[in-house]
Amino acid sequence: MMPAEAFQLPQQEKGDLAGAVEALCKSLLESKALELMMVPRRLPHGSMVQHVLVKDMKALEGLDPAAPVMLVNGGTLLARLSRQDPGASLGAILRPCEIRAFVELVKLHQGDRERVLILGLDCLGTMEPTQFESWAEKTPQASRLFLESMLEQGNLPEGAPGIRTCCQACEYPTAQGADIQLLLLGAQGTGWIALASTEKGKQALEAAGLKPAVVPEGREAALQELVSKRENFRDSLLGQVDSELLPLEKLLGELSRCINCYNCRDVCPVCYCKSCVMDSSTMEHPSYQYIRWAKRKGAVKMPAETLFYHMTRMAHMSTSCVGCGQCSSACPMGIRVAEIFRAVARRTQASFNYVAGRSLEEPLPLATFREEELEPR
Amino acid sequence: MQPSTEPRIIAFLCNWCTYAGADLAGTARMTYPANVRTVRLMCTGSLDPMYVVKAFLEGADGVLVGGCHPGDCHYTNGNFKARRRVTLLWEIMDGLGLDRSRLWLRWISASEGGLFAQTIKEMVESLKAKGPSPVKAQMIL
Repeated sequence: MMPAEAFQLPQQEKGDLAGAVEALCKSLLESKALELMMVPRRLPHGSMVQHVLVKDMKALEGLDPAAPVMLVNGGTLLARLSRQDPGASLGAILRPCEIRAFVELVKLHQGDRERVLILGLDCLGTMEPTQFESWAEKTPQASRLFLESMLEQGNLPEGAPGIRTCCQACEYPTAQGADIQLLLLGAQGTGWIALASTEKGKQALEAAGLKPAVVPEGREAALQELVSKRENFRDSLLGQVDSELLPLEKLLGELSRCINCYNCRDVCPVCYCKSCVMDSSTMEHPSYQYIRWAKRKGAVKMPAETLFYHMTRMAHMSTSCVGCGQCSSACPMGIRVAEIFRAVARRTQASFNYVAGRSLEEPLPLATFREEELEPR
Repeated sequence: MQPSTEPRIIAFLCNWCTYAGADLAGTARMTYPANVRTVRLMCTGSLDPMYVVKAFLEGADGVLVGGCHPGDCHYTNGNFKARRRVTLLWEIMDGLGLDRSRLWLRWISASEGGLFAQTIKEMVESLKAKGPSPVKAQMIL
């Protein structure tokens, strides 16, 4: 790993992150360092921001890297773009949890890290998509207002909807694992800084004509403050989940609203199977099977096997859970899926000394083993 | 009819070692409690943890995963992978407040019929002392 090198983003009006990132993207595309970029962009109609794969530089208009919303985890999308040779040089602007999800997918051979240049942003959290949408609709420059308020006061602008629970509990606000990190924390007043953490990232920034700079002085302190605030939130949240949500009877209470729609699975970036066992013939029970169960147990909830579904997911993907919270946001019944899974994932990942998305070098815990470990009990 | 108070064990046994060990216990006419239902797998490394989950949710009082001794796996390292999956299941069980000691992982070779019989005896005793699985009370899940 090369030592990180800092570059100055093209100077814009103070605080204009979108303008600076747009100028950077333009230089990257113009210099042919990249041919296409997947960027968060306001869609032409409405106020929602989604990932858009941009070839035409004009389509960068509406770029909104600070928008506190993540409709789809971009890790999944980048895996889709890099699974086979895309035949073009690709870049993507992602949040930390999107990068970490992508790292997991690369280890699952569903994406290719070498085929993409990742620009990662410090993440100050995201809102529930529908809440963001209606707030952004009535608030001019909502993303910029959000960014300024979060960086300068450390809290939300007045009238803004809250940050999702999962984001408040996320201890990874920086874009570790990106080729280029766009530094927001501690960067007020110095202009925005891009940090190249790989050779590829450095070459791209040099090709884009960026001038060297230094990491802003206040960054380390701002980062420490945010991380410790989030760690405190995480510890109290997960402690509460451990005692009030996970014990079987409490869990069954929370899951009593579950309608087996499997949305949580569908939006999960690391629920990696191409075809899910829940959709397979294994789970297509003949009618008499339900009758048999009811006769043996006395009663069967319909739809059946709700807890089985969730526990199967815990066993299959909790070691790769990055805590992005998409499952909770997608649940139509307001089940605290992400809280449940983060609490389980904390246990399962700790038992293998593994942190999902931390490093491409660490093998997936269930795809490896050591001969001397974990004696049977 | 009174529900049986005898513990029920589902045993996932690998074809090459523990299943053969169980077979040996039978052909050698060793006796052990009839509380166990075996499922033969080619390798414990092919055991998807969801089947263990399913066994517990269907009311099994205990689950035994039996494979080859370390170094003896017919497929080189399936048993090491199984050991990780069982560890994973233990962590999930801990999280949900389920008793992890209802899930056993044991290495029993094809020549260890006596060890298989002994293991089942011990497991039945241990499960009897614990009483029925609390999951059984959650009958509609």
